[in-house]
Amino acid sequence: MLAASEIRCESLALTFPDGFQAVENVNLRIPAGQITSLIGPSGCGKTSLLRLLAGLQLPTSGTVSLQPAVSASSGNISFVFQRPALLPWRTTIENVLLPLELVGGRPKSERQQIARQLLDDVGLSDALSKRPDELSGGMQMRVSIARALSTSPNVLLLDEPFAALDDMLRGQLGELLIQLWRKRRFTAVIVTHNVAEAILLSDEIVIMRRGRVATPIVNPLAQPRDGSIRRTAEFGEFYGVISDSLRADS
Amino acid sequence: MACYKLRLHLMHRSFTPVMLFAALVLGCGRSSQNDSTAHPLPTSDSGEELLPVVAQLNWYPEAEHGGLFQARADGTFAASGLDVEIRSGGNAAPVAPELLLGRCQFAITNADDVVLFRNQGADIVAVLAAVQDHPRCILVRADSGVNSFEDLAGKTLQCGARPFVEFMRSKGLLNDVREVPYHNSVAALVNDKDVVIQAYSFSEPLLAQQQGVEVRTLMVSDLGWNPYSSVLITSGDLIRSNPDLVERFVRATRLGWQNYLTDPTLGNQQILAANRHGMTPEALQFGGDGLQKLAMPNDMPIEQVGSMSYQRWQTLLQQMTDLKIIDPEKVKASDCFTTRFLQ
Amino acid sequence: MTSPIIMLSYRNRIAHYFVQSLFVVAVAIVVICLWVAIIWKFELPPILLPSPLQVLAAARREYVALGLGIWSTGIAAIVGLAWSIALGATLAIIFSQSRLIRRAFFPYVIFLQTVPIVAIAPLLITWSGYQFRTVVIVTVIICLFPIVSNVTAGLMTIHSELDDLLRLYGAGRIKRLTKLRIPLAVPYLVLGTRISSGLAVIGAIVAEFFVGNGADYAGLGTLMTRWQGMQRTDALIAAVFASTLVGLLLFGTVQFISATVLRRWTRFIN
Repeated sequence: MLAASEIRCESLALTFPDGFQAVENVNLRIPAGQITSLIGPSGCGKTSLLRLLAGLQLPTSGTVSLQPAVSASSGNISFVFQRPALLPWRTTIENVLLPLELVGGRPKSERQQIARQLLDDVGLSDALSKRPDELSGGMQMRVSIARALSTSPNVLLLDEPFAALDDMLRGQLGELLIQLWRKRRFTAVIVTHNVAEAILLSDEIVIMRRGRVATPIVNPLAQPRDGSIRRTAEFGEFYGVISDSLRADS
Repeated sequence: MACYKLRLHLMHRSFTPVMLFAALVLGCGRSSQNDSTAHPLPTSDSGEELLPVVAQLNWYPEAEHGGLFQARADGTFAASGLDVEIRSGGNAAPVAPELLLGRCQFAITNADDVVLFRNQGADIVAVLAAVQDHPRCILVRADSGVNSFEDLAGKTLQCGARPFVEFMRSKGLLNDVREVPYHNSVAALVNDKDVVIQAYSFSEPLLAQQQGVEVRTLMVSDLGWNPYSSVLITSGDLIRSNPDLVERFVRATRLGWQNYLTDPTLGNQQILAANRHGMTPEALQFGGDGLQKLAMPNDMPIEQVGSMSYQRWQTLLQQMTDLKIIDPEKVKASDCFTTRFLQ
Repeated sequence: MTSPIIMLSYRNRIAHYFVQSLFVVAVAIVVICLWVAIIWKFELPPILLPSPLQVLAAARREYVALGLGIWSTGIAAIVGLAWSIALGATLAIIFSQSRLIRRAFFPYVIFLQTVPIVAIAPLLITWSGYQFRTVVIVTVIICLFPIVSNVTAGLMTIHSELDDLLRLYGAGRIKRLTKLRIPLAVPYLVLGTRISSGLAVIGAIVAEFFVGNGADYAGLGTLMTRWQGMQRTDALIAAVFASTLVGLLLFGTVQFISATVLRRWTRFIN
């Protein structure tokens, strides 16, 4: 359960049919078992890069490889979307069970056990048989994260997962994600445009601009990082570094 | 296109309002039906102003309306001081409501309908009956093996929901007959010798023959069901309020019929003009010939064309009472008609 | 914990329905008053417009025929609607899977809607005979289009994140169809069926104008033809009300099924 993969991108490029170059010659190594943030202004190609990593989009050229190699369709790569993207006719637990049903291979009782455990981990043991329209936005996002983890993925990709939530929930869900990561140590890539969130959550920060990525910046702040770290001088200094990099030659 | 075809045929006497409803509901396009005919004579020969009058037909113009067209064509109406507009009927010609609402002063219908109207509380009165013997018949193919009503067993009868069907049923003639609706076409009969259809003896037989099928007619009047046909009706109100107008119109119409039965040329020209799509000279010729016998049966003298008798109306009323389609408390034979304008 | 709130909302809902039905009753009363007033003002004879009481009396006199008519027409409408759903949903699924098929066949589905049923009914009778089956065929022809077009629209609706989610876990075309698109299209099916439930009654009645004559098959359309032929406006209007009753029953049944059996898939749109 502690498997994690390193992600390698080589000369990765994506050009849309209308000629727009979303991703240009990206060479990137995302270390295994760490949380990496992908940060940049809107329209810089973050989401496209993430979809390339997930295999939801085929690159125009270049490759994405995982080390150790795993088959993508067997649930080794999971994705958390901006919106919870729950199936409205399924209950909470049925939504979490969906990837396991699609991937197959485990007996029903084991699937149930996995789903219950995950929903316990995200604090939704009471809401197993509720449907999405009976859950708040934050609860729906928790279900979405639990669903993404149900297949015990080596890689978890998150596309601005908390963007639609208020600051309070954002912080709570960030902490929840860290907790879950500690327990499972998957490789995580979070797309965000919130610098503070990136610093709190991730070990490395990759800045992306106009389809290109800069060299990853290692987060100097030691784990565990909780909300109180925001008040430290180191946080402020690193925040300044990232913000400057984001602004540079733009 | 097929809707248009329905208009072309010049037959059937029932089923039509429902078809119109269906056409409206289902968006079957249909052009205007009341192609009212022209007014050739705005003033009489003496130059005095003519009184405008509207007569509503129960069907598209054909031989059974010959008297009206003849009277207009040969100036009989104008000589009576009347400027008559003849409105074509067709699918869903609501003659009783039109009369009651005053949209027309006269209309053509069948005697059994007069009884049904009165049974519904409508004060409609027959003032002239042009056709003495009802043209209603069952049309069968010559190779159907049907020579009499008793032979109908096992056949499929296309008919409307009309009193004559109830009458046939009461005689036990429909016990083994499959009754289905009539589709305003002789096609089914032409295609299948086991299909027999309701018809008018002066109309559909020709259409079947033109499609290459030899046919026979079984006259329903032979069974004893014989209401007057091509009956001129008006409202009780008009008779009371303007008997002079009714008298002039009835006299002129009667004269029109006498002229038409003598020489239909003028009337037929107008019928053809008023029914360009549905009528042919051959059909008119055939219809006119058939009408002669029906309008003047048993060598009836031409002076008596249009006459009615209490006995005939009373028989009809009794038959319809026996069939339980009217309430005898509501309808009296003496109320259904008047001969005062025929004197 | 949540039960008092649920109780409250339940009570509110009852009150809401009560107020709503008051309005419906009020409209009915106004219509009946207008009806009576028009007859009184214009002194209309019953052959033009019978009074509500006369219609009621005709309905009571003919209640056996009307009851059997409601039964026959209702069954024909239900069977026709059921076939339309089965056929329409199948066609929609095929259409949703191939743009080529959709482009090639959809115009013909539209053609089905524009075909004047009154004109082709005699043809249908030639092919299928004077029987229940023909009534059902006419009903299907009339009901099919709203179902096909709505369900196709439902199946074609793009839910890119959900689609990505399923693709991520290796779900192919069929899996995405059964696990995602079909459940998402259920509300559209309900919508289409709701429209078709009214059309089904019209279809059955129109077919009965052509098929039935009282001997073998006696639906409301047959009764309407008969009473029309006998100039019985009061009974005719009673039959019209009976047909609206069938329509309402059918509509209500669709709503009920939507709110119970299919609630799982329809709840989130209500």
